[in-house]
Amino acid sequence: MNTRLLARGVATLTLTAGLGLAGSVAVDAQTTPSPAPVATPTAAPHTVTLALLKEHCNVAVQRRLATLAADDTFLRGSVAVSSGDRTTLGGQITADQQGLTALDATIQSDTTYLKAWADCQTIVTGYRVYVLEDPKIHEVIAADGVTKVDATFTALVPELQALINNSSVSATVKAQAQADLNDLTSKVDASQTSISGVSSSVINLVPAGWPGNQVDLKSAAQNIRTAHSDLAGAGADANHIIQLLGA
Amino acid sequence: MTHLTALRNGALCGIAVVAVAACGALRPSTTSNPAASAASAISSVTGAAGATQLATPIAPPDTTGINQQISSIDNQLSTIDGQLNAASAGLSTSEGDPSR
Repeated sequence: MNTRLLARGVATLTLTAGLGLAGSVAVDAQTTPSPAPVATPTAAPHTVTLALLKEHCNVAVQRRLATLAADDTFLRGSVAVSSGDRTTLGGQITADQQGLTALDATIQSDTTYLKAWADCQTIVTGYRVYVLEDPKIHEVIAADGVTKVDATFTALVPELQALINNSSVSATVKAQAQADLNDLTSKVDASQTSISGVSSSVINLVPAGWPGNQVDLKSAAQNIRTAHSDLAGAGADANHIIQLLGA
Repeated sequence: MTHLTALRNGALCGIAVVAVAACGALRPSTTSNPAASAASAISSVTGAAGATQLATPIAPPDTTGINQQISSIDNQLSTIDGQLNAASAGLSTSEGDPSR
């Protein structure tokens, strides 16, 4: 009965998470512009008026502010983020929001097309919201989440061990459960190795380091993915142990 | 004659009353140690319960707490997955010219 309830709970959580994920991607998709040629250092021909240029720049700023606001919501809502990382990321988001707002005001008060165009480029080069800040924030939240799951597993392992030791199942089944627990432990250890230092490797990356620091972001993402995969396997082991002992 | 019979009956009755009173007085003295009496009573009760307990099959372990932790882990892994996908979306894009 316990096992059936657990399976139902896992299915519900998976569905809920799936829906949440879809929503998360949709939000980012709306605020992320489709890939376009990177701005050249020279001003483009005056194909638009100064007023229209300012309007485009304002839209670009507002989109980035919306992305940062969504990131801030993620950050505030995440229970897994460490206190230090939450403070650091929160400060970075606030600084970006204030900087972009001030930049928009500057652009709107520019009196020449060239000055407005040059200031407008800073929306990208000075902040890198889509390619650096936003992925970085998500990576730190994910990496801290892995650390939290590791801690939960560390507390769970002795409880599962006691459950196996005190179980009245046959010696064969008990041996299977013990093998699962051993596998679980090795997977949690592996995830701890993968996630070690990941948050600190990306949290202080700055736009000035772009595009070189993209390597750090991609490496961090790979490490988080590997750790996540190990923890998913450990979760399956835990479920199997419960199933074996509850049968 | 009648008087003697009545006298004898009265004496017998008196002896009987004394005998009954003596029995009543003796009985409390056998249970003058209440602690011993209580212990005796408890031991007989636990003895009975112990016998009943041995006969009952072992209950399955309560895994409610463990199940809750596993559910919590599943939930957190789903959140991590969502954050990873959001990060990947940013890593596979580029920022265009904001003036266009």
